[in-house]
Amino acid sequence: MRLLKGFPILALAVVLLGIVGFSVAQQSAGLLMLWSALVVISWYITEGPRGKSLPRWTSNVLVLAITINVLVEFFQPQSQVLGVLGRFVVWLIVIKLYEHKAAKDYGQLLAMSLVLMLIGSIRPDSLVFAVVLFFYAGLGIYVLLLFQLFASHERTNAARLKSIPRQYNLLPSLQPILSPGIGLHFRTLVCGIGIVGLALSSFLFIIFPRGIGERSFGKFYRDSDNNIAGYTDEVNLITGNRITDSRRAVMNLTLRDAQGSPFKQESPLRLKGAVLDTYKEGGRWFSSHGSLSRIATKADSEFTPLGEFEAAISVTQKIEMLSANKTIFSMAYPVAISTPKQRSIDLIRQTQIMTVRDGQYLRRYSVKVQLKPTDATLMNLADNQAPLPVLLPFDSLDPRVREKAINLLQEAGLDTSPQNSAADRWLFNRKAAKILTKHFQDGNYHYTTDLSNITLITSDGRTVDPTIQFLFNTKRGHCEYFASALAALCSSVDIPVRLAIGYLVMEYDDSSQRYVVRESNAHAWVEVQTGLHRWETFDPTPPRVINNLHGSDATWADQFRWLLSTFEAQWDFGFVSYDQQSQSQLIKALDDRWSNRLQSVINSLKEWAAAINRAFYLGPAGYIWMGTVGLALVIAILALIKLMRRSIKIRTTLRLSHLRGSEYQSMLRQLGFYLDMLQVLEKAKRRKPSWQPPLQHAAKLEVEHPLAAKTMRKIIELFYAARYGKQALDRDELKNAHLLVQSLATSLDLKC
Amino acid sequence: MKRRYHTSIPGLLYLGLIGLTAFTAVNNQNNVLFWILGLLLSGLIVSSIVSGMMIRSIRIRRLLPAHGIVGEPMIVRYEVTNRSRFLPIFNIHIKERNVNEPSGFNNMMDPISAWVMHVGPNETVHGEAILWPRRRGKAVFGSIRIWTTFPLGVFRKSIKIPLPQQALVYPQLYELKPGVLEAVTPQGLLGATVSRHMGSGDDYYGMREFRHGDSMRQVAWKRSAAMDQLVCIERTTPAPPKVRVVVNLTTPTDKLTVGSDELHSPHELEEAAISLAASIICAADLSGFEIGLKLPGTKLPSILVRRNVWHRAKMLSALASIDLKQPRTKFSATSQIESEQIAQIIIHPDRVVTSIGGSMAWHLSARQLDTLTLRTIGWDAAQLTAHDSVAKTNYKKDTIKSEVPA
Repeated sequence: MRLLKGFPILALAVVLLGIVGFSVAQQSAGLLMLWSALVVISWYITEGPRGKSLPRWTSNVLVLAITINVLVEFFQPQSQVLGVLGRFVVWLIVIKLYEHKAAKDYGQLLAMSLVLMLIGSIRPDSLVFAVVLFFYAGLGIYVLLLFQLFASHERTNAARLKSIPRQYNLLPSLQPILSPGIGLHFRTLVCGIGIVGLALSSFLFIIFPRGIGERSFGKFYRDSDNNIAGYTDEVNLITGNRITDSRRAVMNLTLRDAQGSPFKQESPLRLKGAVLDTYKEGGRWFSSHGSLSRIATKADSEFTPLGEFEAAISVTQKIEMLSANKTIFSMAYPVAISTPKQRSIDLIRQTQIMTVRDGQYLRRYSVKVQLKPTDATLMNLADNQAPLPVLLPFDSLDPRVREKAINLLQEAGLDTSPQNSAADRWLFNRKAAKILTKHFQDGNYHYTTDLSNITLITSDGRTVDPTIQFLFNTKRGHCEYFASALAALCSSVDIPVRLAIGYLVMEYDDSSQRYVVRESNAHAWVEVQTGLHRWETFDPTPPRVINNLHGSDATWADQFRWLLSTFEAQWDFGFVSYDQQSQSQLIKALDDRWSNRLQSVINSLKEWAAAINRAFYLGPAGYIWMGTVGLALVIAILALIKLMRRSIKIRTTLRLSHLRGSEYQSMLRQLGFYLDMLQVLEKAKRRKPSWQPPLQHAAKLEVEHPLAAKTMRKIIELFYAARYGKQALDRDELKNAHLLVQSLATSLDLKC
Repeated sequence: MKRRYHTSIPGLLYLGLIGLTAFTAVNNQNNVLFWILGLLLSGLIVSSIVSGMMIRSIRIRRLLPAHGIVGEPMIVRYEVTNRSRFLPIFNIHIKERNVNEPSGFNNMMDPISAWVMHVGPNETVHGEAILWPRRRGKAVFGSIRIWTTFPLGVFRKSIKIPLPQQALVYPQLYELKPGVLEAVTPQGLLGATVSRHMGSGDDYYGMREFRHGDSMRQVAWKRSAAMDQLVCIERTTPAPPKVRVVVNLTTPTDKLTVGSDELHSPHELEEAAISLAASIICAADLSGFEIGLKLPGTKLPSILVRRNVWHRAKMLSALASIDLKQPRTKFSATSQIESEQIAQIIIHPDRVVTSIGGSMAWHLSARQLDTLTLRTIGWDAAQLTAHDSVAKTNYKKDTIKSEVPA
């Protein structure tokens, strides 16, 4: 009964874990604290000393109110469907916890907590959620099994009480029927089921077909649902999915000069992951796909050149990724790359952007970069291909953009008339970009990540482009807004410009001599064309803000976060990024490994046999001898196992475990015939029940088989003499006993 | 033995959840969802395997009580043995399956399932089901169904085991009003008397020589002095009054005389007569009477006048096994009844027929049940409201019972 008494609190723990899991997935610490407090208080109120519960009508009213609230929330334009659904379930759980709970209610609570975890799982994967999920699964299995007993007990008692006639006042026993050791048996069974379930689920996880039916019905969540993403290869100004305060480490970066010495760069490091050259109204930046070159890297970390370059002035950046990403980051123009294993890489020649092919991920890689390459090197890297056209329609979106840009340039004294030569044009681009960049850093625009009160709909119902809104009205935004606005101004005066996204890194760990890149370092800036293949970086975000955001020292929590980051890296690379390719690679590796291992074992055995043969000078016949010895050894081992099993059986059947030493050995040797007799009876389907004395069983047998009963009595007499009469049976008597057993088998029509 | 898997609503919900998870996992290619899907599927597999193994290792035996009594709980026990050496059994439900015949137990009582929470490996426990018999007769038990939803409640694995058995349910017993038994049992010549055997009574039987071990109180001192040797007085054995209860069932049920305004149906009157007879037998037995039973109109043999526990059980069993649907036999033993020197209580279902029994016989009618009895022993099956089936039986005795003084 103690087992069943513990069920309500364990069920509450499971429900609480479900809520924690959902809150972790939603990354909402406030709601987590609120809900947890409500759940804990519910226990005190309903199960505490007073034991009060919510009346049914009150809970119905509350459920109705929450349903209306959910419906209102659901039809709001920016609503997160999963979040709304999950919150609805959580509130239902909380209300139910305050009600009087029967077995059925506990079942509903457990089911709702499971639904909550499933909703949480739909969102992008996080290690913390996975940890909560793991504990939830473990405790959930225990509680689910316990629930079966609890519910059956409640239902049986209810049915038993209900069946009592009105006039009958005596209560029947409501205690459950159980045998001793229930706690141990239950826990053992739960452990067994848990381990088997875990192993089976892992196996199923590995073999589930992947890559089929992906996005058939679209995503079930919007990118905006994902508040923390760090790096993505596109920009959406409205959702702002890249902007985060998360201090999660994304990668570690070591810089080495041409001589191989680690060094720290004085200026902030910009790790570029993508360049976006297409803008669509509504604040979305895309990358137009240029011509792809496939590069196969060499194994064993040997550098594969992307073109001809000056090795003497190149810098090597060594990156250790802590989250799975297909993008290869580089701080300048990449000229060579190396990976620990052979990999296929896609390179866009015009932008020098690299990604890993075939859905694979790189954990470690090194890129050689050139900070100030020559034009010849750049041309060689671009494979003489013309730069990609830039499609930025800002001028058509609002004519004020061009006016503003020209005004700013003219105010700065720059001639905006068309340039005659290419050199003049590149110079103009550089100067103009510098002037326009300065405009954003003069204090007219403010950096903020809180865009909740910025509306993009005017009083006449028109939707305004977010860049235009930032440029002329709100003048508040984050780095993407600054970069977009600068790109808008530049493009309006025909300066080729594109958006670069990646990380801005300033945190350098002197002890390990490496940069630590965090999700909060995600950044966007602008690249302006200042040569045929040369793009120069301009960052309109105020430097003060950059220093504040990215230059902050590591906090005390960051000192320990590296541990979590390591686990997260394992989680990302081992679990989250497991896909079709990983699956086929794993199967191939397993196949190869097992066949190789088997082959190596066979080879070892062959070598071992040959060595023995040589050592003992056995010659060609030696293998026959060894085979014979090996066979004898196997037979001996099998015989030993059989003997041991028989000894154990005699000990348990005849209850000899309390005997020790020679007495025990003597009994083992002598009483085997009695075990044989029991086995003969069992084979003849005349099994002797353990509670029945053997002579009584013989009397029962006498009705059908008088001869067998007579033989059995003789065997029993011998057994009693040896077991309880302390009379050691001699060889003849033992032989006689075995003959009697054979005779018993014959009289029971059994083959000996 | 037939093994079956049944789906239940939680099981269907579970399957729906699996489908939903699979769809979401495939659509989103989310590995956490894939793992959860694997966990749910492995739960399904493990659940079916474990429940199957548990059911397979059960050995069960029904332990019926010697008899049941209408108005008193009848406890049926089930001996459940776990034959497995390693695997414990949890959450076993045992349910009696209905028997499709008139004497099936389900026509006499509502089946209540038994529940066994746990049976350890190689262990035996006794579960119990409490049945509440509504009418007397032979209760035939057929097969039982054992099922479990353990471990996860996804499937209900069940097994049907044939265990044909039967038990008798005695008629409803009533507590007789004080004085009723004394009034109808004989006094004087037909009442308490002494037997012709020596015993421990008070009356003089004879004298004999003193034997070693005799009490000094038994010594007849005057006679001993006269005879010059010790002699003892022997006493007689008291003979209790003898009563024969006769239930007149010679008239078929459909020919009983029942008024149109009467609340009782003919069948109910016959049952009331049987109950009254059983009640008188029990009360007389408790009062120390020797009792016999005759059931004219039935093929059941007469039961001689005796007194002991087994004898009473024999009479109650005879009353329990009366089948009123059988054709009635003609009663030709009137002379035998008249010739016996014992008191007779003749109970008639409808009207008194004085042709049965002698002039000293007491004739009672089943309609007198309410006036002769105080209350039922146990609960009144007629007033049973906890069962739905009560409405179907359409008993009208509520009104009758309410008239009985408390």
